[in-house]
Formats: sequence, structure tokens, C-alpha cells
Amino acid sequence: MSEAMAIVKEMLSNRGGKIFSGLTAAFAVFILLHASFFWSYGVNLVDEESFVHTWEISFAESVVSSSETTLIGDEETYDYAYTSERSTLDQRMVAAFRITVSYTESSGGAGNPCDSVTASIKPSEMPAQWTNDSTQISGNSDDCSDIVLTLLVYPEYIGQPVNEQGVKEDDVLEKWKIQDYGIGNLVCQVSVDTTDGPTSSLPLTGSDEGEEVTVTWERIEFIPSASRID
Amino acid sequence: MTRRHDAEKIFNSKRRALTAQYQEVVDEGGHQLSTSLDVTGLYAIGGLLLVILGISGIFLRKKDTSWTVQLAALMVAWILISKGLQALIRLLYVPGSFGNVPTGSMGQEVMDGSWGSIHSSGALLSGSTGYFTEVLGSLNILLNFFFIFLSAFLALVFPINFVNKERTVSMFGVIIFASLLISAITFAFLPDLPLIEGLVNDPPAAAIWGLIYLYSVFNENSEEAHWKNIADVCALLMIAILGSYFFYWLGILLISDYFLSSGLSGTEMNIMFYAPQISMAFSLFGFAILVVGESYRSWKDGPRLVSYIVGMYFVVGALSHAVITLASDDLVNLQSVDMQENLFIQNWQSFTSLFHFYIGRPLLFMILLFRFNLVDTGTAEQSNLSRITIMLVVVTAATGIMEMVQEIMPIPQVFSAIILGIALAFAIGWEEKIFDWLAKEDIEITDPFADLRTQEPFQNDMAIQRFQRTMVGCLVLIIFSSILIGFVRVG
Repeated sequence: MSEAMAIVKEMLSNRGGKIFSGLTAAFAVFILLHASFFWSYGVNLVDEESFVHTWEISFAESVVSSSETTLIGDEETYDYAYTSERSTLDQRMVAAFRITVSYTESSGGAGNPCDSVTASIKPSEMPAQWTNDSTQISGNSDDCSDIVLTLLVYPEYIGQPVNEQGVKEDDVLEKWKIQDYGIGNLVCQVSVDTTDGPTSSLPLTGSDEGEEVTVTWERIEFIPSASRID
Repeated sequence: MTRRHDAEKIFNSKRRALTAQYQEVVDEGGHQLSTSLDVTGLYAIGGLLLVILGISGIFLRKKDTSWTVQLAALMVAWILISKGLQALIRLLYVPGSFGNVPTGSMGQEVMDGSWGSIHSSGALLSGSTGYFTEVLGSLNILLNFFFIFLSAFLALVFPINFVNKERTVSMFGVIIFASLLISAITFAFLPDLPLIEGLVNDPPAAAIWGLIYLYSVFNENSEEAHWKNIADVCALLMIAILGSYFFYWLGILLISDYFLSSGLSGTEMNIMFYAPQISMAFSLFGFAILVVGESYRSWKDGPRLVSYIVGMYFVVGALSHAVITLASDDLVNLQSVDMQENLFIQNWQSFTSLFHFYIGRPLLFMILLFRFNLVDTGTAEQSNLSRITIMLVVVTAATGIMEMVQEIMPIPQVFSAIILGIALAFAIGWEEKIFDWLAKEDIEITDPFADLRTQEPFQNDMAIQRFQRTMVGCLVLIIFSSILIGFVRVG
């Protein structure tokens, strides 16, 4: 028998060696218990906590709107103000603003054509996609049709479900839960340039001196949700 | 279960990595949860402590003793140097890259640089590191391998020599060098291969030292001083090598969720992925042995220094479970400090694991080297060097503790200077006492199984010198390999 074996045998035969054997047996049971626990429960835990998965992020949209109507005189400009406050968001995020400027020919003169109305959103410090190609912050109308302006707010938001990679639901949703975007003040500047009809110079027919313009502010909001797809 | 093989995506491990761009984590209610903890000072202090002690160990190595003790002294010295260099290298990491420096306030701080923990931190696999960072990363990993191999072989020869052959010393040197070379090649060309280096040294540390320890404690002649000393040596070695997980003994015993998700290595759910957990479980085995042994010793003869140390680990381990379970919503990784984790958890992990690595371990090895006469303090010159080393270690350790306290409770610098001054005064006042306790007692670790030996005692001085040269060669290999690995990985 080799020296090493003789020493080990001597050690194991002593009281300390027996206690060591007992502890080793208990440790073996622990390892078996641990292994079964790890491969039954632990792998799922680790999978959820540590591995990257693909998630589909979908968005539930809602719209909050308000409007203001004002009579704007000929060759005058009026600023319609709107304040977007975080306190009104609850758990929602701001996706975009849609501003609709509408008016009708109200002079009452027979044959009076529609006035020319110009609208634009003044760039402000509100965090939004001001330079995005799809953002439309100015427009005009001379046929009484609505002017629809759009200010995209949330980066990369397209309204359609997107796939993201991340470990946990919170991770992938984090990017879509920033409420800083779309908070602040917006001003829609509307100018009116009236156009008199051919009968306006006739006696007893009124001339076109202004227009009643309504600006409707729609704040498009969303709540993201994630579902794992792998 | 399918896994992604893209190294950049796999195993980010902690989900908070996705929030890395934020300096502070803010919960849904907008409350500030955490800032990061800067423990770089601790790396500097711990690194210096370990390197100083290691170099002193080499210079002061006792030469008029058995080759086993000489070899053990050298191995301990190189263990200290490898761990010290690892700590110092960590000071040079670039924030956000390998290992993530805590000053960057993001990512994770891998505490001990093991392959598995680096895998699980997602570091080094980020794919965006520079050459210098890759070299530092390689140095860190290879130095850790150096430590692993040394501590595994140390268990085979000290305090009981199980390989009592003339060629043992040479074989150890060759095997350690070859293992490092293989590790370097593996790391360079197969970095995604999950290595389970913890299984190389943790099971021998727990099983071999554990058996010797229990044999010594329960020996019928356990009253004899040399059995007590052998038991103390084994306990110190077990605590020094396995101790970081002793702080989590209760979590491991209860198979808690944070234990199940810690230390995992690799990208596939296979046995290699699971294996690091076994090495952590071996720490529990070692701890159970120490608790049984020290309880018995305390009951029989009253507590010794080791009993208090084990008791401290026992209490802190129980508290750790409560802290980690109650204070964090996430699964805390036992091998790294998550810099996105709340500050309380960061502090707790720093005060436990980092304390063990960078203050506790140097002190334990200092006791081992000096109290158990692995080094020679006999001559006047050696005595002076020993005194300087001991004082340096004690004072630097005190500074390290101050650094940690300062980090957690910012005390005005004037007060911390006063406290440090008081500590210094005590250290200097007790210098003689500390030195006497460590170096004056003539404690010699002798072979208790001499009568079972079939081979005649022999001297092995030349082999010891060759071993020393081989260790220097290993260090050179680590440096050159890291330089080359940097090229391979960046290229």
C-alpha cells in the first residue's frame, strides 16, 4: 500500500475520520438534492434571470383631446397654447401629437370663397422628434379643409408591434417606459388671410373680416406590453 | 431551451446591464435607489498587501526545514503574489470594459476574476474592448489560474505530504507551467469554452484539509501542541481559499435562488454550466467541517483564534442571507457586485467578499507564514524584514478597513486621519506583542505520520530552487501569453 493510502486509511479510521465520512455522506445527499433542485427549478430561474430572450412589444394606444376655438381677424395671427403634463399621463407614454386646425367660411356673403389659413407649431423645448421626416409642423389651407399637423414624440415608436431582445420583461419594456418625452408646452400659431368674394363690394353685403378657427389637440398615448416569443 | 450563441448577447446575466446608460437607478416612483460604490482604493491596498507579503515570503523562506515546508512557503508566497497582482491589475481597467470598474457606476464588479464570474458578468465577451484591456483581462484570468493550480497542489503537500517522492517538486512545477500554457491557449482560441477552474482547487481544499483538520481535532492525542497547530493551519488555509463563500453558507445550504443563479458559466444549460455550483457547494462542505471542529474545540478547550474567525463567518453568513433576501428584488450574484444593485447590497458585498479577498486573506496568510514558521525570522536581518512586513501588513490592513468605512459612511478626512492615527499608535505600541505572537513562538509543522512513511526522509534543495525558477517562468509565461492573447482577441 502506498504511503498516501496508508495515511488516508489511518485518518479515516480515527474519530475525526468517521465524522469526516459522516459529513461527506451528508454533503453527497446535499449535492444530489441540489442537483435535482437545480435541474428542475433552477434552470428555469436561470433562464428567466440570466439569458437573453426575444420579446414582442405591443402597444395599446389611447387619445386624449382638447380643443379651442377663436375668432381670428384678417391678417392676424393667434397662438393656441397647449400644455402636456406628466401628472396626466398615469402609466402611459406620449407617442405623438396630432393637431387639427379646422375652420369654415363664416362671412355669410354669397359666393365668398374660403379664407386662407396657415398653421405651424413653434419648436419648443419639449422632448420630441422635431426633425423626424414624418413630423409635420406646418401647413395651410384655402379650401376650408382641415390642416392636420403631426409631431412625433417617442423615438422609434411606429405604433406596430416590435421585437426586442432582453433578459426580463422589465428590461425590454424599460426603453418604452420613458415618460420624459412629450412633456412641456406647445404653441400652434394660426394666421388668417381672408378672401372677399365677388359680391363683397356690393351694397348690403358684408365683407370678410375674420374667421373662427378651431384647433384640436390630440395627444396620442400608449402603454407597452411584452410577451416572450422564444 | 434554445440559447443564443452570439457572445455579445449571451449571458449578460444581470438584467440591469441594459440600464447601464443611467448613472443612477430610479424606480417607477422616481425614487433614487442607488449610486455606485468606489472600491478601487481597496484593490490598491489589498494588492499591495498581498504582493508585499508574497515577496517577503520568498525572501524569508525557511531553508533549514523539510522540503515540504519549504515548498509550502513558496507556494503560499506565489499564491499571494498572483492574487496581489490580480488586485493591482484591476486598478487599470477601463470603465465599462472588462470587469467594469466601479467608478464607472455601471455594470458589475467581478470580485475575484474567476473565468466563471467573468463569463457571468458578460465582461470580456462584450466585443468592444481594446488591446490593452484584453491584455489586462488575460493577465487577470491567467493569474487566477496560477492561484488555482498552486492552491490545489498545496493541499497535496501541506501540512500532510501525500506525495512524498523526490520528483514531486519538479513535477508540481512542470504541471503548473503546462497547465498555465494550456489555459492560455484555451483562453486565446476558445474563449467561450466554459472552464470550471473552481473545481480544481475547491474540492481538494475542502476535502483534504477538511479530513486532516478533523483528524487533528478529534485525535486522541489532540492535547498535543502539534495536532492543534496542524488543525489551525488547515483551518486557516480553508478559510483563506474557500472563505469568500463562507459568507453565504446559509444561502447555499438553503439552496436559495441567488445561489442557484450564481457562478454559472457558459452559454448552454449543460453539466459544464452547472459545475461551478458544485465548487461553491464544496465551500459549504469545508465550512461545515470547520463549524463542527471549532464547536468541539471550543467546548473542550475553549475558543481559539480560529474559532472566533469561524464564528465571525458563521454570523455574517447568516446575516448575509437575510440581507440579500430582504434588501434586493433581483438575484444577487455571489461572484460579483452589481453596480446597478442598491447601495446597501453593494456595501454588504464589499464588506464581506471584498473584505475577505483583500484584507482577510492577506492577514490569514500572514498568520500562516509567520506564526507557523514557514518563514525564518531568526537572524537580525530577517527579523527586521519580518517586523517591517508584519507592521506594513497590519497598518495597511487597518487603512483598508478605514477605506471601506470611509466609502460607506463618509467621515470627514480629519476624523478618519485621527482614527487611522489611533490605529497606528496601537499597532506601533503593540508591535512587539504582535511580532512576538506571530514570530517568537517556535511552532514547527512536523510530519505526524513519519512512522507510516516507507521512504527515507530526503532533502530536495535543488528541486526547491528549480521550483522557484519555474514559478518565475510561470509569471513570465502569464505576461507574454497575455500580450499575445491581446493580439489574438483584438485581431
